Amino acid sequence: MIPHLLSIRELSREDVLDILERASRLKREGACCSALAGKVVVNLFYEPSTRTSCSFEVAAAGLGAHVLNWNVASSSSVKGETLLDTARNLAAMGVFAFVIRHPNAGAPALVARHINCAVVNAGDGRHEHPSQALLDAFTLKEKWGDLEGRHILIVGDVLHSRVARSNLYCLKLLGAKVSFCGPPSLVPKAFETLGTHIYFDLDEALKEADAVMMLRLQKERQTEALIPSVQEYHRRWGLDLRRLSQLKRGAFVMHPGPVNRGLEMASEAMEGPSNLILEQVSNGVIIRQAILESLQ
Amino acid sequence: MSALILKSALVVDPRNNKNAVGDIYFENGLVVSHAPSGAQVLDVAGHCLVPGFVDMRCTVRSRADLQLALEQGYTTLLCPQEAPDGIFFPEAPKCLHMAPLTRGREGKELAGVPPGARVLFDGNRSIGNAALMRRAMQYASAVGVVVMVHAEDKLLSGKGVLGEGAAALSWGIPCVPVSAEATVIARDLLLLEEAGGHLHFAHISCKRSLQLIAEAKQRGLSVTADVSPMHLNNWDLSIEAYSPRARVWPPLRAEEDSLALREGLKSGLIDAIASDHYRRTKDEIEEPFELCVPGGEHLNTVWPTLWSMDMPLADKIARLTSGPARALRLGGGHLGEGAFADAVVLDVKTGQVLKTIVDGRICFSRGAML
Repeated sequence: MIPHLLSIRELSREDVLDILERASRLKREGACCSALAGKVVVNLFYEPSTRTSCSFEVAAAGLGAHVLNWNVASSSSVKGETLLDTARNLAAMGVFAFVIRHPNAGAPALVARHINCAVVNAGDGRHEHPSQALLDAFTLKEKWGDLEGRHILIVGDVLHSRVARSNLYCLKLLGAKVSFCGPPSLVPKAFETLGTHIYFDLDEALKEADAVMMLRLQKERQTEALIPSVQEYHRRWGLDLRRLSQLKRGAFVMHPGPVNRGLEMASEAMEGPSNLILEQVSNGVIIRQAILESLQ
Repeated sequence: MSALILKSALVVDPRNNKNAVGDIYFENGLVVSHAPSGAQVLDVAGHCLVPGFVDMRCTVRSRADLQLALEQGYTTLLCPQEAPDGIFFPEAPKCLHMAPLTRGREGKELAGVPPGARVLFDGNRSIGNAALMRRAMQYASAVGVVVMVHAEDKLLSGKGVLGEGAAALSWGIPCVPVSAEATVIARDLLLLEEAGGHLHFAHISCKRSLQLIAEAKQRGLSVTADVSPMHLNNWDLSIEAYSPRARVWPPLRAEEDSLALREGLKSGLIDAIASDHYRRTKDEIEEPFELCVPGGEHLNTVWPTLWSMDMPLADKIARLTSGPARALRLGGGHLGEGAFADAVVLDVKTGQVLKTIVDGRICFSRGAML
């Protein structure tokens, strides 16, 4: 049981294993539709999201909770209300948990510090996206049974990626080795201080990986001069059929979505048995039920 | 005006190489050499008497800031911006307002130098245009004022809020490379060679910057620097993630930078310590880290920080008195004849400020509010 889920970094191996075991049970036996009966879960989203907000909504509804979707575009924050004031007002209506996505790192932690409610981080800036990492670990664990000694390669815009950070901590807690690959402007060498290995050459890196996780590239990274062009990015760090064939036998391909077809992944590379993208999505609901269930 | 005799104190006056028991005389707001007649006599035997502390950068937003400054031994504050009306009281420390270097502090054209101005400072803004900076330095040199520089290349610092390193990466926040500060220091030192005059670098935060300044001082350039207590006492990994305390400007950097700054302060490579005090409202810190307004209450950490450092007492005093006064060509900062009658009485054992004297008047006494 945990009071909040703000980051993987502050979880123990036991916390992670507990959530993964709950998820296995939920997948096997189905969710108890009264586990959160009478409780209100608020999705507080300050950034557009389809996958994550829907996934949390379906998960909470499956446990019998009442879900409020608070979307920034249609809320009073456009009238200048601060995050904390919004959260205070909603909390006063009697809320069990906030599920928060925010463009600034540390925003869910700020709410958790000031408001007496459970807080789940659904992605904050480039900090963390813990539920994504847990569902990725769950998906791989289902395939391999154990992550000990496995090597997962994360490719692309690691610098701006909360998915990469959460996965780094989560996979390492479970005994896996994690490497990053991409251009130095998006994969700074300093990441090695967090316990990862850095590759700049994707062809070299792919040979070593048991699973490769491709990250979404924001097209505005080109205008920020972090990459010379999207074409060059695809040529050097994109996953196409040729590179797919270089992977070890049985290695898996993952992506947190949404995919830029033809940019970080060629369309053809999205087909095939090694691709886990849709399994990631369906496991997402189960993991989020496990998270909501484990909140004290 | 009043006269005051401070008897039998251990006088520590670094600028005049004085470190001995003696009497100090104040008359009409100045230090005089002979005991004035009809003066109030204060026996401070067993205590230490030092020049009044000078803060090179302090934002005064309320009366509480002025009161805190007095309690900490400050007699002169240099303010980057005008303090609000109506907060001053007769015993307050002296506030000198720094004039802008460029019009509207926009970094586009030279601002005039108002009569009486001693220091030109654009606040926490660097001048991106090197040609303009060169002309500003030439002009300041000709009219005899000091240019204070906040060294930051805006293009390199971008949206950064913490020094580049493991903490910024794991907190997932934009970071500022060392080069954002060091390239501007390197540039301005080269410009100083051509333009002449005197340059003062505000709140140095990196080891690399210190190396550049050390080299410039060795070459005989007229350059000085200060450091803030935040950068001496903290680094990126020493503070809890997203704590508003860590939101300061320039950003916190690595532990090795902090250690180098402490060494620089000890050796005198760094001439002064400035508070960069900026009392924030609740609204300014109840936001996600990146959106918090940088600042903090630091007037009360400067002297305790210095006191705790392993360096001779006279050097500690110098960094808060003659150091800043000399760097900014302010006059004062010492207890020689003709200097301002600004002084502090300290407890020799604890370093605690017992009395603050501004212009020959006792403005603060510990244990007894005004």
